Amino acid sequence: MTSPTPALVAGHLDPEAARRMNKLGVILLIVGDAFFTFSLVFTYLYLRGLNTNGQWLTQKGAHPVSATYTWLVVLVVAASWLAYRWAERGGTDKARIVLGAGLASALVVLDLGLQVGQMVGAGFTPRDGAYQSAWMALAGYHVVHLLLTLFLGVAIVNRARLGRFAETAWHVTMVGYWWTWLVLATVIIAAATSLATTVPRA
Amino acid sequence: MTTSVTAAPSPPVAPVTAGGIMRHLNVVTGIVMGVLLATATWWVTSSTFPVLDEGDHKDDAVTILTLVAWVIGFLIGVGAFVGPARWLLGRDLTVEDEHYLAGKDAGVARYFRFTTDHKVVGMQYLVTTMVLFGFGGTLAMLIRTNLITPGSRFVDPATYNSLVGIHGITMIIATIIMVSGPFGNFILPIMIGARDMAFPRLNALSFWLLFAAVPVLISSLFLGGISTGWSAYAPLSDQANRGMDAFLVTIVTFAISTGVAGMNITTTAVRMRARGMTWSRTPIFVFGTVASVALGLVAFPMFEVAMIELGMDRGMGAGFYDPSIGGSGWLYANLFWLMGHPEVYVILLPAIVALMEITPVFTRKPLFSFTSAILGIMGIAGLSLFVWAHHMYVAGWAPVLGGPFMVTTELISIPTGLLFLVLLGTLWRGRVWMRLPVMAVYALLWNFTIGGITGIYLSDIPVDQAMHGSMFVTAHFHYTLMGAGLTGAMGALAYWFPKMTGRMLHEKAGAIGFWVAQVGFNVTFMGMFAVGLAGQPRRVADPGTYFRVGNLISSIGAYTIMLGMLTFLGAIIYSWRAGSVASASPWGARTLEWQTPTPVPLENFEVLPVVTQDFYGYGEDGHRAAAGAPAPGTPGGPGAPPPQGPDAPPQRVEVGAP
Amino acid sequence: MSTGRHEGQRLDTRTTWRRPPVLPILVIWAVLTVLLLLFAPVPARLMGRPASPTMQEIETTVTWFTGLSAPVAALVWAILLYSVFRWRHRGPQPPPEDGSGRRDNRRVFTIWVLGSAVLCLFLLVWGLVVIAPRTSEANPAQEPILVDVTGQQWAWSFTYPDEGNKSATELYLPVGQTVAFRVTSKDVIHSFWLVQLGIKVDANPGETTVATVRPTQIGTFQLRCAELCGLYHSYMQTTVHVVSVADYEAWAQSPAEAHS
Ligand code: HEM
Ligand SMILES: [Cu+2]
Ligand SMILES: [Cu+2]
Repeated sequence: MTSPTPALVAGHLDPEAARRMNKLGVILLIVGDAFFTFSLVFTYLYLRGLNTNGQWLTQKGAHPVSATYTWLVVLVVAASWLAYRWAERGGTDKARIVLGAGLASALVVLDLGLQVGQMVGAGFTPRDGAYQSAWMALAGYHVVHLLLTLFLGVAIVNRARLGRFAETAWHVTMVGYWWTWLVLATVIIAAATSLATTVPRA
Repeated sequence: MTTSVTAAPSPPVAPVTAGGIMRHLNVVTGIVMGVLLATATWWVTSSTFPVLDEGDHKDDAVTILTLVAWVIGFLIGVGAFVGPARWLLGRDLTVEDEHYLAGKDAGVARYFRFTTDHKVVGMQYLVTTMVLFGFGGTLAMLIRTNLITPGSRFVDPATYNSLVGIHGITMIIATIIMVSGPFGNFILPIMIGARDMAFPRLNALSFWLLFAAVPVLISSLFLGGISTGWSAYAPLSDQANRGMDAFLVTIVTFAISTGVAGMNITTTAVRMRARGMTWSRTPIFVFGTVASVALGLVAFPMFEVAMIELGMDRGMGAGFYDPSIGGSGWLYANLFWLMGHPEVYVILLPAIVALMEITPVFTRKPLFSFTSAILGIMGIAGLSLFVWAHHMYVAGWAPVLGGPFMVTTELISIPTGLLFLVLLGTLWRGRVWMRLPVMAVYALLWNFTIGGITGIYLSDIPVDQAMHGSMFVTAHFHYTLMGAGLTGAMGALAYWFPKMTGRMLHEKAGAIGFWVAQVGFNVTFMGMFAVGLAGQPRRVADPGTYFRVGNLISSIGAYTIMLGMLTFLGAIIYSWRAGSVASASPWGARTLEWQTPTPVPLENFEVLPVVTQDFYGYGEDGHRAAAGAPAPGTPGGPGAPPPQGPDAPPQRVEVGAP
Repeated sequence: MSTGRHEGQRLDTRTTWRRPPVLPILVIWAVLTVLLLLFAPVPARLMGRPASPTMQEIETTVTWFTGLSAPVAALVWAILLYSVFRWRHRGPQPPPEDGSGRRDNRRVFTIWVLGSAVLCLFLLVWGLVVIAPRTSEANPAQEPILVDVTGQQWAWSFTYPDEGNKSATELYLPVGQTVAFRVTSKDVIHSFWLVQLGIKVDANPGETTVATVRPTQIGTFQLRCAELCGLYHSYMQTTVHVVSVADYEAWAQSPAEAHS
């Protein structure tokens, strides 16, 4: 980190220092995002716990979304993570990065489709009540996560294709951290929304 | 890592001709893009969105999306997305590009574009902070003017409520950034011997996000005001007028800005410290600022969620806070205070550690009990995440939790006490060179004693039953936020002014302004304590005749504050333009920022320093003779880089060390 | 704080605490403490005459807290004052010599931490002990009088289930009897604050919160809304009449007010 070279441009550190620095940065961003996720899950669970005016999923025709579908969404995300990990393990093997990250991105697109499909097909809008609002917020959040991941995935594919990964191989690792968090967040959200649904009648 | 590169179909190096569109982007293109995108969004949304039968959420949806479009458009136009886009395309910025972004040309124009140099960002923050204080202060004067006489004669209650709300949130934003923005950006990297922040582009991004949020905040004035107070309790905020939409867009934007800044400053401090700067040699300012911004990093996402849910309630008719369809105001209150309490320490910590940096310099003594300072900071930061419900003692959401939250709240007084110990211990027997920066230490210790003690009243549940929602609370938190926080920030400004502007802050005018403001401050808020004890609720446009005298006193105090602050501001403006030229190290301080020339060169250090001991070694062997300030006018300039190199024999980095 | 010998100072044979700066600071401290102790009853005076045991307790607590913080604040301010007047160095240049290089003082640290811990412990015990009887007051031998309180922008209304759901817009309470308020709101959050009786609880839409109090003073008092609730928040107040039991009975029998 300390270098006597006067002409060093800030930010152009040697790759190892840059990797360590970026790793911390990414982890901190993930921590911030984790608190975001926590707040949304808290919203869901707290509103369910309060069940103000007995309005949690008690409206006529109200029903929780299909848990199976939810876990399918998780499954696809997990598969994309596996594909990405596979690419990452390949070191600087260009073809493998392009293939793995490409596949992972494609799976993210698929998951986007699934998630949006679930939201559209849920048969309710946030206007219908607290459950519907809290669920939609979580699902919408997952969509945002996926879009972000897609950006990262496509960038990695593109950069690998252009041969840009060699001097900055650690970029692949950084995106990998994010991808892992994506899976974790998805599992947390899925667990909350599928394990805690209707309020047991007193 | 060798072979496959050559097989790459594209040239291994990014375009030779560096530059491209980003050389044409600046704040003007940003505003143009922002306005264009906002107008387009407004037009499209208002002509396509359906009007739903019950409740008119359309207006709110349109407003929210328009304001968001402004923010995004502005960021596009100012060039915030050039970096990510080029990363996506694999056309990374060249060294030349980075130099351009860093503001190598050193012209004035770099303050008006997406410049990554942390010193530029620091200055941008400084000016923005002062503008926000000016705006919020003006509103405060309108509030106090209305309260001079009973009957709300000056403004009507609707205006009054929005004045209170906009004043509150403006000041909260201003105080959050007032130290970690200007000094955390400008000073902190130099202080740790770095060439820039860890993520210079994100640094610029966090400033321009804030910049984009300011017009949104101000637009609330024209959208009916923020009529809910800064805490924006739901469901009142669900039914409030469209000023609320501006409020929530402001907060979401600001929360992202603080999150990014928090991550950036933390990474910088952890990873970029100069060689030899172990944690025990790291200046206390770094610890406190990092604790603050790291706390912000975890706290603000919760506020952000609360605001997004508010946006969904308002714009889509969602039911997060609407009890009739299963929502709850307690959800909002919890999320809000989960952010809200840590936030008060986000504000306080940097101010108090800035003074911990200042005190040793002006007493020529080491910082007393570094360990206490660290323990105090960590204790406060840790505990502050677990006390939020002391703001909700009487909300009725969980009466059984009152006891536990009282315990955590009162425990905070122990680490807080440690911070007092550090400052008092450093003053102890020190010959105080009574200059403007160190005066803030005295003012802070006076005010914060009162703020802290009144906090203890409030943490007692039965007492809080009488005090909550009264002017007593308002007085308490002004004693902490303004009496301690802002006071510390003013000291910090006086201290680092010579480094940042190259000129000395006019001492006499500054000190007069400072003390007039302090006296006015104590008058104002003592009066407020009194009316609060006597039972005046907060945020009332017309407190009634019973509280007339106390309110009159407070208003007189407020005008005194205004006089003082204007004098202080005058001193700043005058000194910035025509103050006497400062040497590189006018206070004879030892931390690294004083070892660079003034003005600080682009990458701060010609040769990166190596640290061999901490910066508080006053009065130790070989240091009996004070490192006197260089005689006025001595150039600390480019000719005098610190004498160290990696191979130089171990020596201290302080200027003036024998 | 550090009373360590300052190098280069004349050898002083007096015991530590009698040497400057300790002695003069102790004197200032004592004077300030006395002044602050004289001030200690003022906050409670400002709060007015308590009209219930709850308020009585609060005022006692406030006075005790002020009294106990007097020596603490006095300590801080004594050092500040002494420092300003005796340790000040004038002039455009820093003092020619550095001060003592002492960085730490274990004894002072220990005393400081123990001291603040003891004070904190006291606060905790105080707070928790005061809460305890208050909650038990909720189940007195005698059934409390129930009052249903509803906040609504920007007025309060009261219903007395024990009195045949008599409703009112001013609060009538019999002296000496425990009253339990069941508080709710029709729109946004308000806060039900009986100023001189020292109780406050939020009125939340969709929820009912409870507060109990036993008024012990006959007189008229204020009910103010303590949570910003919109346009006319500052006018969301009404009068509380604490009357003798006989007057209360008479009022309860009288026909309901002519309002919705
Ligand atoms: C000894 C330390 C402190 C204690 C025990 C304490 C305690 C409290 C309590 C219990 C409340 C809630 C009062 C109520 O609404 O009923 C409160 C409010 C508040 N405190 Fe403190 N406090 C302390 C220090 C601070 C500091 C250092 C700051 C800021 C730098 C601060 C800022 C605030 C603010 C902003 C509010 C009110 C926010 C609002 O309602 O709008 N406090 N404090
Ligand atoms: Cu708090
Ligand atoms: Cu109100």
